[in-house]
Amino acid sequence: MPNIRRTYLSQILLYMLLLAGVIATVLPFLYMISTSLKGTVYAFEIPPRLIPYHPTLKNFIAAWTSNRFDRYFINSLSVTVVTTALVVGLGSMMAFASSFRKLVIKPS
Amino acid sequence: MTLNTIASRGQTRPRRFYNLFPLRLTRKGRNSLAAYAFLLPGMAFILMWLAYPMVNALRISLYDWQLMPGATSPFLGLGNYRAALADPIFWSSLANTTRYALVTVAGQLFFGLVVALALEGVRHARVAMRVLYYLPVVTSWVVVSLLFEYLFNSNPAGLVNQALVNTFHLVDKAIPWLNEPRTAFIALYALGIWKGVGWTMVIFLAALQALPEECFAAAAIDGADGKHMLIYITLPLLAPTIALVFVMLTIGAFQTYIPIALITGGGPIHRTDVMLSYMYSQAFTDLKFGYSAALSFILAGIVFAISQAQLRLTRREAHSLP
Repeated sequence: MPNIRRTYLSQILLYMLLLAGVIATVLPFLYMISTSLKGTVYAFEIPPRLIPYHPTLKNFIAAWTSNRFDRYFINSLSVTVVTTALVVGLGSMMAFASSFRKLVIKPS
Repeated sequence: MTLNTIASRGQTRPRRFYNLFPLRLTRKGRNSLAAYAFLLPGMAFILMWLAYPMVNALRISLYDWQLMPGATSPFLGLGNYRAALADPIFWSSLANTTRYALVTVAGQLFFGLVVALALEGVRHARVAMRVLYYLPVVTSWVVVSLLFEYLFNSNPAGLVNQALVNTFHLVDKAIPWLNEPRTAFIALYALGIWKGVGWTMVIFLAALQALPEECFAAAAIDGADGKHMLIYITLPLLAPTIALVFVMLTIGAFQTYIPIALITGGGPIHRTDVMLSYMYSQAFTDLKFGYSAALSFILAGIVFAISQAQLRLTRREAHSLP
């Protein structure tokens, strides 16, 4: 991209614009993290706080020790491993085959 | 013994490593045989998991399909398709899908382009901001759907309600976002745009970095300022990329399902259903598999027609540019 003349004013405006976007993008995540550290009674507190009043890790402990968390994790893991292996393996084989010139119809 | 040593002795030509079939074939024949051998496993998968189910779905769409083994499925011909055209919920879900596509595609294109241009214009913290903007893209749809359901909670303590009522004083009392189709769709649009901006931004950034430097140098000599460069050089050069992103986003928007299913479930009484969620409820709640299969082919036809039209229009536009 070009050397648009960088004036201080335009730089400040650009940073403000980008910062507003970053806040809008990240705020839901921050609020999710903050809620994960709140006790159940504080999940719908008024007004909502970004910094939990009585931060607690018990949600994490509950999730980690919930029924069959290990099972769910292994299920996700096995789906990920098998699909990735198949997609990369079969995909690269087919790509290699389509590199044989004039033998395979290539997508235009 | 390596291929090189064989070749250097001049005894035989080095063997191609893909000569897998010691048959009496010409080299061309051997090559094509090898090529098909490499294609075979992938093609088998595609036939089994794509072609066969599609053909089967087309067949199902012609019947009043019964799940019960042994039960006879009455042949309806195009009856399911005619039923869809007479179904008011089909039309309302199609309208919902179309509105969702219009709003979210426009929003993602606009904000993605603005963020990409702004990022190209600054010097510091570019990588960090790129990562932060990309965060929603790599987060699971299920996670962000539940997150937005929580943010747009009808309860006065929902974050959006709190911000509107108590922080910015824009409305007097909490809005029951997810109870009304109109406001529920505002939440769904917000989610769709918020999750997609990072992706469009990355595509536009890649395109911006590949733009030819000479055009801008020439324009600078001719006395163009930043605004003129943007309007007369950057945007026209980006036109093919914008067209591509436009088509991809539209196809994606017509296939939205997870946020609707998780946030409103299509309710109240199908009023927030989109094509896919209506299709799903017809098949797996009402067990009308034939009808649902017909809906899927109608949707496929619509998506195909729209993407063809977009490609044609945008291609002409890209050619007509200087």
